[in-house]
Order: sequence, then structure tokens, then C-alpha cells
Amino acid sequence: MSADRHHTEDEQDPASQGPLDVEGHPIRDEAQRAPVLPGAAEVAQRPSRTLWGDAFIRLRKNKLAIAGLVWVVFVVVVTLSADLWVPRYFADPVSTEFAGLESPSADHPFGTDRIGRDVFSRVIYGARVSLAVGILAVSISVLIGLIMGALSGYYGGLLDAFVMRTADIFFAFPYVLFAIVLLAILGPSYRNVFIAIGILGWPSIARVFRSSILSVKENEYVDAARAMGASDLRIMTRHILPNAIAPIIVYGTMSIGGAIITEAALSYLGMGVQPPTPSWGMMLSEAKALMGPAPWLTIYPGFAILTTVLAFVLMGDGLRDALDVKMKD
Amino acid sequence: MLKYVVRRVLQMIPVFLGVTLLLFMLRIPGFLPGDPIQLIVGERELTPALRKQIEEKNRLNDPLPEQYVWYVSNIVQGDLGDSYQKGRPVADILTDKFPNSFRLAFAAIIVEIVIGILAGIISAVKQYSFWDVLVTLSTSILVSVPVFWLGLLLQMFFGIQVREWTGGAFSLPITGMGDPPDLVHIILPAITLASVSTAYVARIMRSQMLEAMSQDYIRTAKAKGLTERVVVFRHALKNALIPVVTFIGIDLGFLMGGAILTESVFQWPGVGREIYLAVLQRDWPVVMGGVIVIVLIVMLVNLIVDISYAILDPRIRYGGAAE
Repeated sequence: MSADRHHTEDEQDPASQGPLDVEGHPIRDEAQRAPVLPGAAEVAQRPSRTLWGDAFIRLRKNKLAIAGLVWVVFVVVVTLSADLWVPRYFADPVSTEFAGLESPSADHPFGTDRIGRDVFSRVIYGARVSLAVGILAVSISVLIGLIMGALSGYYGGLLDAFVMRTADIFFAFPYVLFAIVLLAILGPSYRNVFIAIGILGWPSIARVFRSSILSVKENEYVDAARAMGASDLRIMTRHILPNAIAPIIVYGTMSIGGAIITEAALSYLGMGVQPPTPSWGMMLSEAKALMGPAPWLTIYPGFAILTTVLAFVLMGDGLRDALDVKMKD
Repeated sequence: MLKYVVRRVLQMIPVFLGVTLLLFMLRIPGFLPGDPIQLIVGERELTPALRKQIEEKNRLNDPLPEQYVWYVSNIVQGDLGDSYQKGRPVADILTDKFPNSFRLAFAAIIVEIVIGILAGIISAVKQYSFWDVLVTLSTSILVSVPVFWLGLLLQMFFGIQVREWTGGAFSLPITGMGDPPDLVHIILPAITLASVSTAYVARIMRSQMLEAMSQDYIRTAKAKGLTERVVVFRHALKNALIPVVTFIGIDLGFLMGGAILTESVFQWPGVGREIYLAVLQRDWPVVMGGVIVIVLIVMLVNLIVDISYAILDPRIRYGGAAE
């Protein structure tokens, strides 16, 4: 929104005559005012405050969440554009031409590793693996979780008992152990890492979605839709899902951070992404033997994991506060 | 009460059967990498007679349902099969390793209880103070730190840097557990293992404490003229502790099941590391046996937590009985 439009609007309709929100208070927020054309207020078409518009306004006030968002966007842009600038100014992530360990310098800001690979470009390219695994794994979890949650919450009965007991079985396993056993079966590889993490994540999503459905499905609009002959699928996707999606979004955002940590842990143990693809976890496992002479090998990749995961956690926290109806200001 | 306990125990049975079924499926040849018979034979020459003997011993030619019954009844009797690599019974191997994992788990739980609960209380009682901000910020960071990286950093700092600064006079051991096991060796692994959970304990403690402090009975206690300390520790803390204790109890179950990452970083000879090494060597009986025992421990500890919760909080058992 442009600054001068905001300015003229302020002159033309003072806050007291501007659009009102549900409680009759004038809406002071510029995001809400922006779509209102000068003079349009009289037409009594005030913008409705949707859940998302509302949440966005509250999210914007949360500095930590915005910092998280900015960092995630930064990491995405840097790693996706890496091909354009990293080879020109820094060494290739897999090239070993500078054989040997070098401490950080102007040429190699994060130093080089045992066989002379540039740590800086490896950290940058490593972000691709982490982000891809984080996002793909959580997408798989959410997809399975939504289906299982819908089956158990909407239909209830035996199906519910079956799905929830299956979830209990998943919860009884320690997480990393389960992931390792699964990867031992599937075979360690890039693709199998996100499949394994994705499969392990569904029970939490299913539980969250199930409880949302249980609280939504008794509403009258659901009965109304059913009376009008809507199919189960349509009721679920059009009437229940939109009203139950907020906790899924919050949970999904936080899970991306968790999936990134798990990927790093699996790669650290050698059960994840395989060389030569640079991944943060694998870099740390290679760094272990050189902890004394080359601390930079341990510090930078770990810091990359920490900041990226923290960014997703902060975004998740912010979204939770922004979307939680009970926490409305 | 008895009714509640019985119902709770009965609920465990389908989960246990589900876990065993899942693991049983992995025994079916072709599911796991490597021919199981070849893995058992190892370097020896595989003669048809030897193959037949192995197949019979492991009931590989029986119909699957019969195999499953045989498998579960073995587990119930404590027979987890023999290790491919070591030839020893898996149960013996695990019996050797579990005490080390328990030791580490208890050390970590102590860190969790002392630091987590204290930090949570301070942060809640002095809300918005410097300490509160410090606790809130550091818990957010701690839950985002990969445990194994924290372990590496601690090793680097206390094992290597401190030794350099003090001219070799002082440093903490970064591997193993000493023989006999001693306290010095457990410090770094325990802190590493406890890190994430301590952050969660502090967060839960803080929010529970804040909620308890806003209750009417606290206002009443304050109005009666009781001192701040009595109000905080006698009245608020008791109620706020219940969810924290639950979390710690469940966490203890998971920690006792071995910590693959921490144990690997510090080469701690526990079950987690044993299972991880077994995965690398395709020693499936050790993996399966270890997983079964760990799941049983987790379920058992959860059961104890739930029952003690029901004893402490009557609403749960009445709510349960009404179902």
C-alpha cells in the first residue's frame, strides 16, 4: 500500500467516520482501510474482517515471528539463487582443488574442510536439502494426517478406534529410533529421508485435525450442508476443513523445524542424505574428527541448522498467537 | 481406582500387539536388506544342511500366522533371538547395555528437574523481568538446537578449549563412561541429553505457574496476609507441578530407552548406540529386540505416570469411570 494514498485517506475520512469493525470500533489499521476507496464508506460496503486478514494484522505486530519469516525468506532466496553467484565468487561446493584444511579467510569465509571443499558454499547448498526435506516431509505428514484425522474424526466408531490405536503405536516408538529403523528398511537416500520423516509425522497432525473435526462437525451449517445433499467429501473439504485448518497450519510450520533437525540428525548418523550432496548434518559428522584443529567445520553448519529451525519455531509461535481465537486482543 | 488401572492396562494390549506385528513383518525375508540366512551364516560356507538347520530354528518355513504366534510367545518369555554378529542372545546384550542408558537417563532427569523447574518458577514469579526474558529466549533457542550439535560444541569447549586455556590442567572427559563408571564422565552427556527437555520443562512450568498464580485461591491466600514465599511455594507450586511431573515422567520413559544421538556423540555404551551400530551391521535381531524392550519401557512408564496422576487428581479417575 502506498504511503500517500494512506495520507489522503486520512484527510478525507477521519477515523470516526471510517469503516467500523464488528464491535463498532473504527478500524484504524491501514491494511483494512486500503481497499476502501474514498467515498465508498457511504455505500455501506465495509470490508469484512476475515480470519486471515485478522490473523495477518496480529502477526505483523509480532516482531519475533516477522524476524523468523524474514530469515526463512532470506535462506530460500540465498540457496535458490546460489547457482548465479556462488560459483563466481566462491568455490564450488564439491570441488576439492584447494586440497587441505584452511581456516576462514577472505577467499573461504567459513574455511575449507579436510579435502579442501569450501565450507561457505557447502553451507549455502546444504540449505536446499534441509528446506526441501523439511517442506516435503511435512507435506506428506499433513496429507496422511488429514486423511487419517478425517476418517477417524468424521466417521468415528471402529474406524476412529483403529486409526487412534495406530497413532498410539507410532507414539510408543522413540522418534529417532523409529526413523533409523525405517531408513534401514528403505535404504538411506535423499528421497527416503523425507518419506521416512513424512510417515512418522502423521499421527500428531491426525490427532489435531480429529479434535478440530469433532468440535466443528456438530455445527448447524454442517447439518444444513448435509440436508442439501452434499457428499461427505464436499462437507469435509468445503465446510469442515476451512474451519479446522488453523491449528494444522500452526502445527505444520513448527513441524518443518522439527523435520529439518531430524534430517540433520539422520544425515549425521549416516542414515540420511548421501555424499556428495552437501547436507548440514553430514558436514557435522565429517567435522567431528577435526574438532580440535578445525572448529569452524563444526560451528558454521550447526549455526545454519539452529537459525533456520529457530526461524520456523518463531513463525509457528507467531502464527499460533495470531490464529488462536482465545488470544485475540 | 482398580477399574481405572485395569482399563488402562487393557488399552496397552492392542498397542503392544501392533508393535510386535509391525516388527514381525520385518522378519519376513525380503523386507529388510540382506538375506537373513546369509547374515546369520556370515563368513562360514552355506551348505544346504546348514541352511535347513537355520530355517528350522527360525521357523522360516512355517505359515505366517504360526510364525507370528511363535514370535510373540518368545518375546513374552523374554527370548529375543540371537545376534547375527555376536551369536549371543539379544536379551543378554541388552541386559549389559541398559544399565548405562538408565544411568545417563537419571542424570539427565536430575538436570531437567533442577534447572527446568527452577527456571520456570523464577520466570513466572518475576514475569517480564530480565530473568523471564532470558529464560523465554534461551528456551526458544534450546528447542531449536540439534542435540548432537550441542554435544559437539560442549566437547569442543570443555574438552578442547578449556584444556588449552588452563594449560592442560583441567578439562572434562568427552567420551566413554570410565571404568568403574564415574560422575565426571556423565556430566557432558547428561547436559546434552537433558537440553531440549529442560527447555520444555521450563516452558510448561512457567505457563502453569502463571495460570496458578491468577487463580482465586491465590488471591485469597494473599488476602489472608500470607507471605509471598508461602503463597508461591505452598499454594501455587503444588497445583502447577502436576503437568510438569507428567511431562518429566513420560520423558523419563523415552530417555531410558536410550538416546541414539547423545550416546553416539559421546560414545556412551548404552542401548541407543548398540541399536544404531546393529542397524549399520544389519544385525536385525538386536535392532528388533532393542525396539521391543524400549517400547515396553515407554509404555510401562506411561502407565505408571497415568496411574499416579489418577491418584493425585481424582477428577481423572472419576471422569474415566463415567465413560
